[in-house]
Amino acid sequence: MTMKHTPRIRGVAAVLAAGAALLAGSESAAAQSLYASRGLGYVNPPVDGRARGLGGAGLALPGGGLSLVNPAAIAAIPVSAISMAFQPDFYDASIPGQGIDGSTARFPLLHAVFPFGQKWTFSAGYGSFLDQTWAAESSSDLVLPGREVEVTDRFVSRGGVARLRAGAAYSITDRLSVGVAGDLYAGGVRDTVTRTFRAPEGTLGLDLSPTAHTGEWTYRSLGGSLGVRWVPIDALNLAAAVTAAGKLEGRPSGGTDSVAVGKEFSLPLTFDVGASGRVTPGALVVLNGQWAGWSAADADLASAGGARDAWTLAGGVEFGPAALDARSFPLRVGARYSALPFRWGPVSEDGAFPNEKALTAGIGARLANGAALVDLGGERGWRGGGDSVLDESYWRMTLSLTLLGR
Amino acid sequence: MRRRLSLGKALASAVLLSLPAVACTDEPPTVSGGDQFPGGSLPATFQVTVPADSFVRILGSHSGYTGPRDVDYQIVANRFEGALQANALMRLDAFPTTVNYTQGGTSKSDSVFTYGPGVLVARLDTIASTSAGPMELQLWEVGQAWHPATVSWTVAVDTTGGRTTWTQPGGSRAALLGRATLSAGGRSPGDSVVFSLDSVAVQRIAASGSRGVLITAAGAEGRVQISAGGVQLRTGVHPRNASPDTVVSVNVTSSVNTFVFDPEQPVATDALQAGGSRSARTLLRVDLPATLPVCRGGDCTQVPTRSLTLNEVALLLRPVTVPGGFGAVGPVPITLRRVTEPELGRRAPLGAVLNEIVGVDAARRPIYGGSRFVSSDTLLAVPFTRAATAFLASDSTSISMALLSDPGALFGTPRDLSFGAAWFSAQPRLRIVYTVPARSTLP
Repeated sequence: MTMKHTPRIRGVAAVLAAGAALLAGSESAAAQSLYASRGLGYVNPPVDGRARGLGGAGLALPGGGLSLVNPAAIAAIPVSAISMAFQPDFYDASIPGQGIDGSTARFPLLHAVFPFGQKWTFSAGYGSFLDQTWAAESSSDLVLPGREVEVTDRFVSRGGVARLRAGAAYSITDRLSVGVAGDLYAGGVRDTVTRTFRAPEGTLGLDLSPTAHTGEWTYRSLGGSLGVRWVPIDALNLAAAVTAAGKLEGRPSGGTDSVAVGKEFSLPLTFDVGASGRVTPGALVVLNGQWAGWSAADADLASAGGARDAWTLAGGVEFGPAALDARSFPLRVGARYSALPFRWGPVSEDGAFPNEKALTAGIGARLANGAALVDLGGERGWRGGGDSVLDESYWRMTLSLTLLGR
Repeated sequence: MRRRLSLGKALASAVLLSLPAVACTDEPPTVSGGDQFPGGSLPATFQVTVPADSFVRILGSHSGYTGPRDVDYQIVANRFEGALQANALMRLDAFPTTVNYTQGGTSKSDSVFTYGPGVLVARLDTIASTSAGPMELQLWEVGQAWHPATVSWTVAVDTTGGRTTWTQPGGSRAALLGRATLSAGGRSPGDSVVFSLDSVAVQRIAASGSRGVLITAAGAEGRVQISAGGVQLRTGVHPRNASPDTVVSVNVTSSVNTFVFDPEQPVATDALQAGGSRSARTLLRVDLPATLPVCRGGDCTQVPTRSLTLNEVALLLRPVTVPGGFGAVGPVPITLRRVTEPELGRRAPLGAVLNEIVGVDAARRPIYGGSRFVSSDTLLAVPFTRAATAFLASDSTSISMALLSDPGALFGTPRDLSFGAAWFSAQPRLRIVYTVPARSTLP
C-alpha cells in the first residue's frame, strides 16, 4: 500500500511545498476592497471554487468539502487530499468625487485532510479571514513661513488576519459525522505614512526630504469550531457549525515604536447552517445561512464606526450527475446576500453599514482519472447600499485545485 | 502512476512560476482625501528659523589657496568698480620652423619664409564680461621675461633662481601691436575680440614668442573674461623659394595663458566669504538645536530634534557687496564641506560635501542645493539635511564645516572657479523644516 502511493505522496508533498511558498508571499497581494479600510477589515471566507460557484454555499455538499468552515465536512472524504485556491479579482469603487479600480490576487485556502482508519479524518489548513490592505492619499498646499509647497500624504496599510486550523472529524455512522477544530488566528498589519513635498513650478523641487513613518502590529487569537454533518436520506445533506474565538490581540511588534499601544478585539461567535438536496438526478440545490456576532466588537471599534452582527444567505444549483466521472463537467449558479459587519464612511463621520450581494457561476472538472479536481467559480458582486457613500462592484474568480490520494 | 506523478510536479512548478505574476498585483486599493486617513495619522510639518547667535560660531576666514594659474580663463580689467586692474599674459611659441607647400604639383618644404598680416582672436565669456561704456583692448609685445607660475602684478619672476620685478606694474610693455574696441557691456560682435595685425606685428610676435603678448584695457571701466583656450593668431607665410603668390596659412594658439591683477582680493572681516580666484573660505561651527517646538491647538511643547524627521536643514545666507571689483559676475557654486580639524585653521583639511542634492539635470548629473547662486539673489539657502540627520543619529548636534566655492567637489570641474567671490552677512540663519511622526493606531 505504502509502496503503491509513494509517487503520489511525493506529488502531494511538492504541491504542499509550493503552497507554503505561495502563502509566504501572498499577504501583500491580498487587497481586494476599499471596505478593508474600516473596522477590522474585509471579511473573506475561506471557501473553495465549488462553493464560490454556488453563491458561497458550501457547507452541506454531498461528498463533503475542503472549505475551511465546517470541521465535520472532511469526514466524507475517504482518501488523503489537499486543496488549494487561487483568487484574482477586479474591483471598481466609487465615492463622491472619485473612482478607483484595480485588480488583485490572493490564495484564500490551503487545506489538507488525512483519513485514519474507518472513522477518523484529520485535517490541517490555512484560510483567509480579515483583509486590512488598503491605502489613502491626499494632496494639499502647505504654507510655511515665506513659501508654499505642495504635499502629498499617503497612508498604506498592508496585512490582515489568517486562520490556521487543525481539525478532526469522526464518523458516528455512515450518515452522521461530527468534527472539531482548533483555530489559531494569526497575522499582522504594517502601516506606513509618507509625506512628500513638491515645490512650485520653476523652482528646484526636491529641496524638502520626504517623511516616512511605519508602525507594525501583530495579531493573535485562539478559537475553535464544532460541526456536524447529517445525511438523513441519500438525496439530502444537512450540516451545521459553530465557531468561536477569544479576543484578537493586536500588539506593537518589533519595538520600533515605544509609544504605540496594543488593543484587543472580540471576535464573533459564528453559526453556519446548510442543506443540499438533489431535486432531480441532474440538479442539486444548496442553501446556506450564516450569522456572525460581530456586535461583540462594537465597543472595541467605537472609534472606527463600530460593528454590527453580520449575516449571509447564499444558495445555488449544481447541474450534473450525482456520481462524477472523467466526462462530467458540473455547472453551477448561485447568489449571495450579506450584511457586512463594519460601518464605512469618512473617518470624521459615522457612515453606514454596507451590504454585499453577488451572482455566481462555476464549473468543475476531473483530471488525471479522478486524481485531481478543478473547480472554477466566478462572481459578479456589488457592495454598498444604505447610506454608505462607497459603492463597489467586482468580478472575482476562485480557482481551486484538489488532489486526491486514490 | 507515472502520469499522476508528472501532473503533481507540473502543478507545483506552475504554481511556483506564477509567484512573480501575483506579486505584480501588489497595489492596494487607494482612496483619496485627507478625511480618509485614520485619526492622527496625518503628518504635521513645521518650520523654524534659528538666528545666528543661537547656532553658529565663525571659526575663521582664510584665502590664498588658488590663483590665476588654477583657472583656464583670463581677466582683463580697467578700473572695474573703480579699483580692479587686470592684464592678460600669453605666450605663442608654436610657430613653424619650416613650411610645406605644393608648387607645380610637387610638395616642397622651406625653412626660410616671411610672415604676412594676420589677426589675433580672443573668445570672450560675455556673461562674465561687463563695462560701463566702450572699452579699448590693447595688445602689447611683452618687454620682459616672465615666469607663468610666479608672475603677479608687480613681479615678473619669483623663483629659486631669483626675483625680478616688472619695470612697469602689470607687465612691461614693448611695442603696441594692435587695438580692438568693445561696446558698452563688454560686448563684441561674434563674442570674440579681434586684433588686426600688420606683418611687422606678426613678425614681432613670432620672433619674441618666449616673452609673449600682453592684453590691457583702457577707456571705460569694465571687466572682460577671455574664455578657456587663450588666443589664436591667424596669419599667412610666404616661403622664400615659392612663387610670389604662394601663401601658406598658419594658426598658432597660445600655449601659456595667465593674468595679473591689482589690488589683491580683499579679505572679509565682518562677512562670510567664499570663492574667488583665491578660493576664500570661512570655517563655521553649527550647533543644531537639541529640541524643536511642536505646536498643536495653540499649545507648544519642546520635542527632541532627534525624534523628528528633518525635511530640510538649510543655511540661509544673505549676500553682501564684495568691494573692489571682486564680486562675482557669473554664478558662484557655494559648497559646504565637513571639517574635522577646524583648529588647524587655513590648513584644516576638507571632508565630505554636505550640500543636499536637490535634483538632477538633463544629463542626470546631481544638482546641489546652493550651487546656482548668483550675486543678484537676495537670499541663498544651502540645504544640508541629510548630513544634519546623520549627525543627529550619531548623537552629535555640532558640525564644523567650511563655506567655500568648490566646483570641483560639486561638478568635478575645478577650473570652473569664478574670479569673483561671494560674501554673505556674518549673521546667517538656520532654517529647519521638520515633521512630527504620524502614528497610526489600531482601529
